[in-house]
Amino acid sequence: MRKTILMCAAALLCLCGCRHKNPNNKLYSGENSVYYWQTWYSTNDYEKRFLADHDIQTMYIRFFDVEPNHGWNDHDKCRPVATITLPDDESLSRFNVVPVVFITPEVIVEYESFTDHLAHRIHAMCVKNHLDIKEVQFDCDWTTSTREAYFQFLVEVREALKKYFGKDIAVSSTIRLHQLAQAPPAVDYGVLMCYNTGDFKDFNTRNAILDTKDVQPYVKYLKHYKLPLKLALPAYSWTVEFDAKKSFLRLNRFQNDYDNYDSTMLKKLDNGMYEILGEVPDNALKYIRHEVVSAKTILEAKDLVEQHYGKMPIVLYHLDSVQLSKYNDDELKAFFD
Amino acid sequence: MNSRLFLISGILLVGSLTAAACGEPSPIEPQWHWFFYTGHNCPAMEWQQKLNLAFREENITFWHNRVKKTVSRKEVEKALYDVYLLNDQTNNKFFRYLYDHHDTEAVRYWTLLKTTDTAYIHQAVWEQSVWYYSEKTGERYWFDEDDLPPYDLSISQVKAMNESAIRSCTNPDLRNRFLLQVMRKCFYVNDYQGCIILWERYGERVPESGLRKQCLNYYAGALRRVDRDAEAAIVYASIGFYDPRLHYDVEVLRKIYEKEPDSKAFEFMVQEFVNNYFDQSRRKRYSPDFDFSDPAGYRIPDTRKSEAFNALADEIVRDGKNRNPALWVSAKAALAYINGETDSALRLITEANRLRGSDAVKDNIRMMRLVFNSTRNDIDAKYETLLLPDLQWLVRTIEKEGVPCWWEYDIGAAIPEDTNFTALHHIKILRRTILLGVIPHFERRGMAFKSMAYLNLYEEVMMNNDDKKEREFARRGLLREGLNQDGYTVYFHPPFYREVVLTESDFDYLHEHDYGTLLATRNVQVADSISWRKSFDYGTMFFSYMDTTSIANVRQYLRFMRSGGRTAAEKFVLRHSYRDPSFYNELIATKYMRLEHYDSALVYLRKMSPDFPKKQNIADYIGTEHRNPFAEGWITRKLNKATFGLPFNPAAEYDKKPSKATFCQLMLRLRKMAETDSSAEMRAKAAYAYAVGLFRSTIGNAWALCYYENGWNYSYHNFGEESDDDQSIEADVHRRVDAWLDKALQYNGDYVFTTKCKVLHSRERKALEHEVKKTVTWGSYTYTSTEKEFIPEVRELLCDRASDYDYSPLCSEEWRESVWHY
Repeated sequence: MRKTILMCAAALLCLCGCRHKNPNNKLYSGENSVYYWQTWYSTNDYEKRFLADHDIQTMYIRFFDVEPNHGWNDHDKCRPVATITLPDDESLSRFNVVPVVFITPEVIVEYESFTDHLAHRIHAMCVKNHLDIKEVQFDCDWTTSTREAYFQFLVEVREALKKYFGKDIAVSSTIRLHQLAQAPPAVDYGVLMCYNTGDFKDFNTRNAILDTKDVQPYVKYLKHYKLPLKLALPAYSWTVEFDAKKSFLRLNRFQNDYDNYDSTMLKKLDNGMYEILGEVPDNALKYIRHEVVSAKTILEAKDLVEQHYGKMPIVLYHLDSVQLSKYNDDELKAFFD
Repeated sequence: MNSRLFLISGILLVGSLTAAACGEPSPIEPQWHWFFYTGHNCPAMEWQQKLNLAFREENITFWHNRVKKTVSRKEVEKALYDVYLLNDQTNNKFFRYLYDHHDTEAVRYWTLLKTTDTAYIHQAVWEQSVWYYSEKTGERYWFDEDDLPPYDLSISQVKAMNESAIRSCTNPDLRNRFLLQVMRKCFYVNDYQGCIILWERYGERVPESGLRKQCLNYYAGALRRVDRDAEAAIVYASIGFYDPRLHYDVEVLRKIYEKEPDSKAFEFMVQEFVNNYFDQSRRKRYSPDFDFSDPAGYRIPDTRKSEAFNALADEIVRDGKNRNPALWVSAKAALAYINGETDSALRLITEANRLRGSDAVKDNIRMMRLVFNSTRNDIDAKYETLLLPDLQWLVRTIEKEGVPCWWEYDIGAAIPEDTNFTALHHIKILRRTILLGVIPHFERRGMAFKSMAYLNLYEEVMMNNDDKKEREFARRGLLREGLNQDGYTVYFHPPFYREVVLTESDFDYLHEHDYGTLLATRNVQVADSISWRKSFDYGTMFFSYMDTTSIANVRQYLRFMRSGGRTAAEKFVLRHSYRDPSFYNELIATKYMRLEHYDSALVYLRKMSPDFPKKQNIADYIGTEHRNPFAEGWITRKLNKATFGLPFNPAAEYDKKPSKATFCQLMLRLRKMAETDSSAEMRAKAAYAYAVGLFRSTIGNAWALCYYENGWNYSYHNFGEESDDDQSIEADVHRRVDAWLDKALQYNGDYVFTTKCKVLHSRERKALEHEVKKTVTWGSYTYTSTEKEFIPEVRELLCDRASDYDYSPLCSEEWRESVWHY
């Protein structure tokens, strides 16, 4: 059975490999898309206007994550967490909703036969929330060692989705830059994540969200990458905190206006780095790196990728007025352009 | 998991399901409110268990009768709760009987139950629970996957099968059992509407029985979950349960009133309303908009709620349909009190007392009146007289009911099933009255002796059996070990206070109400684990108060106690006093010792009965060799050979008869020598020896001479946190010690003597220290810290000297320990 599945996987992989950048695939259209990556779906006026102004057709909504189920009973080896609460109203009905499930490689490798539960749960969520979906996307930071398991999982989950939805459900996958060096997964298309390019834990990283220097080494793989790709661009910021020894402490997604802090408390260094003045214990917060990606950098990265791949449909990560409002309308338009 | 294990686990699960799932999941216990507890004894777990047990017995009896008692009751029980889900039940005599006697109805019942329960357990509970996502619309979401309800893939089929059986079953007993089963299944898949419909469709015909109560329990639980709280409350009340989880807001109370104006459940519901209102007033303190500068800010929650309640209460009292009007008016008084309207509260409680009311409400009114009056600040002379009747009644009631052994320290933990919540409430009211009312009243007026008198009353009344045993052990000099009430040997931990005085939640409450100061200054500790039995008399708030107040206050209290009191109130409070003169004399002596008034201390020590020290749990510490006050602990812990270069050896003298009196005599002798000896060398050496004794007996290792707990670490620290007081008192000790060392240093003695003086001297020591970097690893963290150490020359000197004192050479760790911890 396992062999058969592997063969099927290989066959599908070959089929996918035969696809090129402009497949006859309705899913892979040029319409504008965004990710929605929070646990409670709610849009404010700004976000509603953003969706309308930029003619967003597709919403990639993270439904839940799947994590190892440490300490749970033997029968539930992995489990869904952080399930999104979807709206009771019809506000999603005008969008092509693509459920996204984040799965850790550990789950894929260590636990088998949860695809049925997974597919059933996605189905249940769609039924409950009146979503007629055509596609499901999986987000997994797979590597060489976990690739085989992930690819097999994608084959199995496609079958399971068909079983519950009673029709073919397309499967897409996120593709991280480092994954470009590998063979592509057996999916209908991928979304290239042009963000999280650096190691945010490293004190010397300039900007871990997006630095074109970090993108550069991978673009060479794009030319021959045998999977249709969309391009996901970052519209978010975060702060990374370090102690006095410049060791990573934590990632902070809250927004602070550091420039308006009391200058006797906080000193601005280069590259978005701030230093807390005065003596602090060695392991306490001393340095803050506020990372935000300029529109210029985003567009440079977009150009860089498209130079090697060609024009790509854009998915913006992610729908959040606090983050999006950092860019003006022209810039946002340019992202999708 | 192999199939056999799966089966066994499944059976175990079924066993637990049939036992536990026959009732709704247990609600939390009623919260601990200080206030307005009308005295319902409704611990939810106990009620639930009783309900389940009653039904279990009834169920077994029913089936036992069904097989004409030809099968043992035990076998029937086994069949009902263990065997029915097995693949093959033919070995069970109960099922064998049903098959053999062609009891087709019963066989059908059990077959269906087996089928549906197997499916239910397999799918609803067992395998896929964490993946469950309800497809039903309108259902509430859950936020934590840990709390997911079961999966309901084919539950609809299960329900359909059971409901079909209800309709087609001709035997009413079996039909009712089908009803319970299907209600249970609906409930556990969150199909509350289904559960409600089933009861409303078929429940009417179920006769009064344990089974009916089970059904009603599910029905009420389902009503609660679809926000039909009022109906749920009425149903619960009809089966004798008052669910503290229900939100008895005014609208709910009104609906209940319209349906059942004289509902017995009102006592509980009104209590819950008031307590919830009280909780909200507390929670406000933690809300973002709380104004910390407003001392009364926490007191006023949403007064619209109290206004709405008052309107309803007025209407009910006016209507005359409710036979407990005192309840409603006393609740109004409670709300007014929470809102800070003390005058209104007092007027309303007086009015409530004139109205008709149940015994519980009347008792509650007495307690409320006591609480209200205890916090009054507008009366002085009549204060105690005003409290006296209600206080006497409360004390009498508590003495009659007894104090449970666990109550002080188990709040929040498991509460014994047989808990008498009314009795517990009486205790809480006494505590509230004394701690939050009476003592602050007398503290504000500078009448510490009255504070002590009432604290003494409180502690005497609150003595439980364990406390009494502790005192008895102490009286017999058996403090070190004894048997507890369960017959186990209990070891008494010599020096420590009983840790248990108040719980953490009490502290939260007290601090919120600005009464924390009293306890903070009086050194009351938060309850913690109790691995040791402690000496009761040295572990009370009363003792803590005396231990930390001035000597004048203690003496004034003793005079007051000896007077027997002038008024009836004073006589009453003094009747509840602990009256061992040695206990007080010893304490006053110790307090004098802390002030270096050794002569005065000796006066009181001589008044003490000779064998009293043996009764103290501190006795062992005073006699322990390494706690000799004249041992230079930072050099060696054993200094019998030390003479300080004096004509007599204080350490050896102390060892002959280690006691507070010996210590006082030696200190007086040393002081005299230091002040009057003709030889400068002798004066210096005596001063140094005196400084050693002073240091060691206060914040050094011989602290047991002057304190009842670990030196300054206890007596000046509050709740484990350093305060300004700690530092100032420690600084005061250093200042006094330094003064004697300054005298010693006037004499230009040998290098060793001078260095020893400097090592002990808080200021001089600094010149002998240097900073050393230390790396400490704690878990995944590595800290680098800079610590002070003596310079190598001093270190070497002291270590070398150590070998002279018949003590193994001190390695660095031990040396450090002994230097820095003295």
